[in-house]
Amino acid sequence: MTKKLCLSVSALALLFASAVAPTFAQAAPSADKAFDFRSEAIVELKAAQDELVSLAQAMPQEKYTWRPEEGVRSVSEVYLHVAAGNFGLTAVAGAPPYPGFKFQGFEKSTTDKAKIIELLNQSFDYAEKSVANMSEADMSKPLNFQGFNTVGAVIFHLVAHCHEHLGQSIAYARMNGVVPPWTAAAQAKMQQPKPQ
Amino acid sequence: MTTTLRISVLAFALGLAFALAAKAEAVPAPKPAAQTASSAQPVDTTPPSYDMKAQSLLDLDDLQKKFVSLAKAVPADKYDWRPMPGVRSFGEVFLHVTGTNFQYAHAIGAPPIPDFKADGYDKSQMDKAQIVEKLNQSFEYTRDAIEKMSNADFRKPMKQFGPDANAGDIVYIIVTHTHEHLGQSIAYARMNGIVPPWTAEQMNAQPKN
Repeated sequence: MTKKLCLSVSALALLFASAVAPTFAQAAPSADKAFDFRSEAIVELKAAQDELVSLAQAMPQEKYTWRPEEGVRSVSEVYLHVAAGNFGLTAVAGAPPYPGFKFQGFEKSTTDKAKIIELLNQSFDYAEKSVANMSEADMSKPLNFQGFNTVGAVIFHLVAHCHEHLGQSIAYARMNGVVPPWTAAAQAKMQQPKPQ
Repeated sequence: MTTTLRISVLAFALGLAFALAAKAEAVPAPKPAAQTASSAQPVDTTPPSYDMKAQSLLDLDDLQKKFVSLAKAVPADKYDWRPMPGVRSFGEVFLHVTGTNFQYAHAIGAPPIPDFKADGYDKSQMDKAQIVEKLNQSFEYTRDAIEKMSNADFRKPMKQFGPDANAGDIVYIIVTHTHEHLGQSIAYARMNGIVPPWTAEQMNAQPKN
């Protein structure tokens, strides 16, 4: 029923470049589908949004062009890559396209911190609202995109994609001495004296 | 229907799962998107139709291949490397994923791993070969646990994680947790000039002009 999809980063690029789709192994279908996947996908998107946006806010503007080595995405390019994935994959899943979004060149379209944070938030809001507007029945609707063969498979990948680049962004932050805000808050709480 | 499990799951990863009360946060009711043509959307009464079991198994298979190949590509003398003090090293990230897999898989029905102790597992004294072996084993163990579930089992309540939590939520968190640390590990690799093996394969497969 579902297919493999995890060419995460390149999938959209390949779509927009009209490249030949890779073939993936077919997963054996399960008969009794019961899990409320759609609601959990929204929970996971919101969790990724909260952390990624707070991390983007904590990163100084001058670090937005930092990258670990040549040929690898910079801080700003990773953030915009996530936003592009949110805009692009959600539309692939059947939502009305986000007005004005163009995948080509999006990752390098700006390095301005405030603009990037705004785009990140817009992309997550759009993805979450769009998934909320889909029905449970929509999740098994067939489609054909880079090895994804249902709407649910694309949504599954959209969520995984955000979390993978969140992890990457956390490592980027640490390399630049920036502690993720939620970790800093947890550490501060642990250091508070306990009431007698 | 589902809950935000992140606080309880974090507690679980710290070995405190059953000692802490879970914080449940209901998913907000779906709201009509601005782009949707019809603003008066009827309540969705369609049953779940998504094949979560098959998709999660497929994704974990891919995650296992990537994680294990990356762990093999990192030289043994880099396993202690960390981006800054107080942050997990390469080896500790790999063991964190391993330990979390063992715990979550056990939570959804797998038998306990003999001699496994979650507390301090990240800092276990193991060499590269042992870490790679445990990492690989943890994915096998997790996929085996999911394989043994019926799709209906995904609705099985897991109240220790939250009042509305179920086994499917835990499976999904295994997936997102692993993706997050894969992204972290890839960034670690890049900072050390290591190209992820699957990326190197793609680069080699591209025609050279």
